[in-house]
Amino acid sequence: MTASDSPRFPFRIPFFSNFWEQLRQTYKSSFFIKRRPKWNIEKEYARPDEDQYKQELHWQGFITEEYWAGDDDFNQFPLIKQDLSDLDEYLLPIFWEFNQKSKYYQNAFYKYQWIFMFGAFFTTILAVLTGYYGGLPEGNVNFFFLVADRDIYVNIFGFMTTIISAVTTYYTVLSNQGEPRKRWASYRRLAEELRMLYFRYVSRVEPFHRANRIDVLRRRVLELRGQEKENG
Amino acid sequence: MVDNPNTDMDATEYPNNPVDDELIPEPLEIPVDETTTDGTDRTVQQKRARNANIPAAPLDRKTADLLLRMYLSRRINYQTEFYQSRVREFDDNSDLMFRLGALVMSLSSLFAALSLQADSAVLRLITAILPAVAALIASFRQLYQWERQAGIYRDTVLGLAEAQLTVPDKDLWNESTGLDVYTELVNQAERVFQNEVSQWGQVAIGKPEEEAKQDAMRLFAEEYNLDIFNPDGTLDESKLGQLQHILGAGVGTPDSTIEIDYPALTQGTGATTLLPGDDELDDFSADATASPDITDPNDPTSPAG
Repeated sequence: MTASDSPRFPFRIPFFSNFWEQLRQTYKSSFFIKRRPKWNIEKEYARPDEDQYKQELHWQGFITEEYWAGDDDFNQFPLIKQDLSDLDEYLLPIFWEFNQKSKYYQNAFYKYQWIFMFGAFFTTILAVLTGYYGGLPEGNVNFFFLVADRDIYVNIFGFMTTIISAVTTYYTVLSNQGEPRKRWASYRRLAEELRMLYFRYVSRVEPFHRANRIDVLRRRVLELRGQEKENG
Repeated sequence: MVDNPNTDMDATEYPNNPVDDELIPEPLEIPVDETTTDGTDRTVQQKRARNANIPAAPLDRKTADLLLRMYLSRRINYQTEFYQSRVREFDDNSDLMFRLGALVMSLSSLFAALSLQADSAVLRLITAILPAVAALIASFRQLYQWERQAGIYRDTVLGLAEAQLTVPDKDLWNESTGLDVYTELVNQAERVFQNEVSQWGQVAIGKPEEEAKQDAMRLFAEEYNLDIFNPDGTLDESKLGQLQHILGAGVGTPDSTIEIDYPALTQGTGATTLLPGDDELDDFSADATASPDITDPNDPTSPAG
């Protein structure tokens, strides 16, 4: 038994432990937690150490000798090893770069959209609260359990409405700069084109069915690189 | 030796070599492949050719068999699992938002009715806030378009399953299976991925479905010089109908109808074909096992984050 196998709590009440575990899993897998945009992610790809890199290759669906599930000895297949080496040299660096930029712009796009939507939502809520307290008779009023003068609440909610709408406007203007949605789509498409080239190259199908296939590969990768420039 | 006109020094006097030596390859080392073509002589060394007129070294059976297994595992199964997991997630998200939206709208109606009865400021407040919550939920549904994306991924999974029909059942595999089916499988599957990428791109850049179809038709019309658009840029449905009728006449079964493959149109003639008589369709008629896109109208691709 390993450390991870040992129970953390020797005395567990089945119903409650399952309940909390399920609640935790539901929380972690819920859309608003799992798919929330990150505040910041790196735009440039930084290649990790070799072991981590091989794992990332595997996770991305590429072929790696280390993680290949079959018991084939790759040394018996020099053609495949040579092809994988070529791809590692000419294609994969560009793929990782585009892939990272795609993630960056995707995150940027959704980040701005979430800020805009929640900003609009909270602006509406606070404006409603401002109007609500403004309509109450003068004197002390409740906000949940907090009791204060009506005008204080009106001022607080009015001020917060202004601040949040200003912040939302700022980020909405930012979101229009750089066209993150278009760039995300563009980089994703280019990365997927490279993934297609990867498997076509390994498979030796057209356009990689001639003896000059490595030259064709280099040219195609360069063409995709050129499309990146066209997209700004 | 040529002196550099911009300095007072000649080349031999440069304190540092201005060229990065790492960029200069070692002299005249001809790259070689350890190629093997017959599966037995695996130590043969062959110079890497750069001739575009000769085919690449053919695969031996063992290599083709391994490539087939790798392609099925790392390309098709990997992508299929990805699409299926995304479809499940999108369906869950779509259901969740739909139910939340319905709940909020119901509560909104309830509180509106109650506020009329009770004349309570709190009820009126809640009645005013709930539509904002409903709008937020609707915004998420609009932003992510889960149903549409799930539909694209479902089509891709079906397309990949169809491409896999090229591969016989495992019980029927023999030594030459890899060589026999590999190229056809790769071509069909990659075509599916290509179409998915183009469809997904339309979703990602936020084009409504109808607009995406119009764009596809516009590209197609330009490709073949077809006059199917009105002066205001909208699609002329009557001319489109005529075109479909003409295309339908080219199909063997008289009662068949031509479904326009909009994502395929965006790929131009290089990736797929709509017109009977084009090369790919001819290939199809020549080879009954082939399955060009005209029978697979909605292939797709693309893992996106």
